[in-house]
Amino acid sequence: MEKAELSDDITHTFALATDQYMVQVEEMDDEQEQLTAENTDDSNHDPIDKVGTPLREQDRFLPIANVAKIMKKAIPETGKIAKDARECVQECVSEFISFITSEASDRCYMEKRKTINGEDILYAMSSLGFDNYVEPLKIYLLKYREAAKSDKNLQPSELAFEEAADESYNTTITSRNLIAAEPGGTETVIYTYQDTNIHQFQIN
Amino acid sequence: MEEVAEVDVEDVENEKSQSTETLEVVEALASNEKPKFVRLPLTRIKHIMKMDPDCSLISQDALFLVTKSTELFLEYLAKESAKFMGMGKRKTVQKRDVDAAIDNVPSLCFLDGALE
Repeated sequence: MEKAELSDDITHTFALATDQYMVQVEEMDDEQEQLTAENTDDSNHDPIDKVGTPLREQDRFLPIANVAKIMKKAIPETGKIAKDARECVQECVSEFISFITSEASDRCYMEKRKTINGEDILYAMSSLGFDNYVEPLKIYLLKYREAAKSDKNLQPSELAFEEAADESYNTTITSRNLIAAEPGGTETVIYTYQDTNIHQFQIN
Repeated sequence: MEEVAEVDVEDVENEKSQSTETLEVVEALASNEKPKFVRLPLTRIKHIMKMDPDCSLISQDALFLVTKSTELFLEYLAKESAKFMGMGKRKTVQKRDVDAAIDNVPSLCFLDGALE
């Protein structure tokens, strides 16, 4: 019968095929290290990051040396830090990052946005009990952006500031402190706005 | 009647404590050096953020803010732990001090049970 022959032919062709017939799963790992819900799962094996390189245990944490240095600065001069305390803090810090990220990405998801921006992070801080960080962070961010803009000539591709975020920052910054420094100048002035008065503090 | 401009003491104190670093930044800018804004590796922090399955893209600003806030948090956790060390009249911060801080400080509650 025709049918049988046809299927025979097909089988025959397969058997003779010099190329191996394989099922290929496309990895979505080419789009700027994008990890989407489809290609990650909750099982316990190491998550695969770009081109099959497994994430090492230590990549989950920040370098212990950096952690130790920052801790040392925060405790009294004469204090020491035990090894297990350092490691414990190292874990806590990664936990903190995940905590903030989770909250921020939830908000993003709700608003159907794909990119977590600065605003989301600040909102997460505020809602997770770190409201006192918000103002100082805004100031740091301003300085960071200023410095980055002056480097713009060197690395234009790295500075993808979200214009929308810029807008919202300009309107929501109610910080009463502004730190201005003239590059190349020898004076540094801090302007503090108190009600409608401007107080000036000079630091040399 | 004279109106006395009230200075918010809390604000000034907050400014002082948060501003040692800001001061460093400002001084660096004034002397034309490139200031070191963060003391933690940005790429590693990005890796950790990306471990979250719902997290897709992260803006530069967001990464900077997370890095900076992590530094602040790190200092905060160390300080709180050191308080317990002080209460125990010791000179070395031990893990139990960190645990005590987690148990007693409300904003550190999220760490409770998060450590293996």
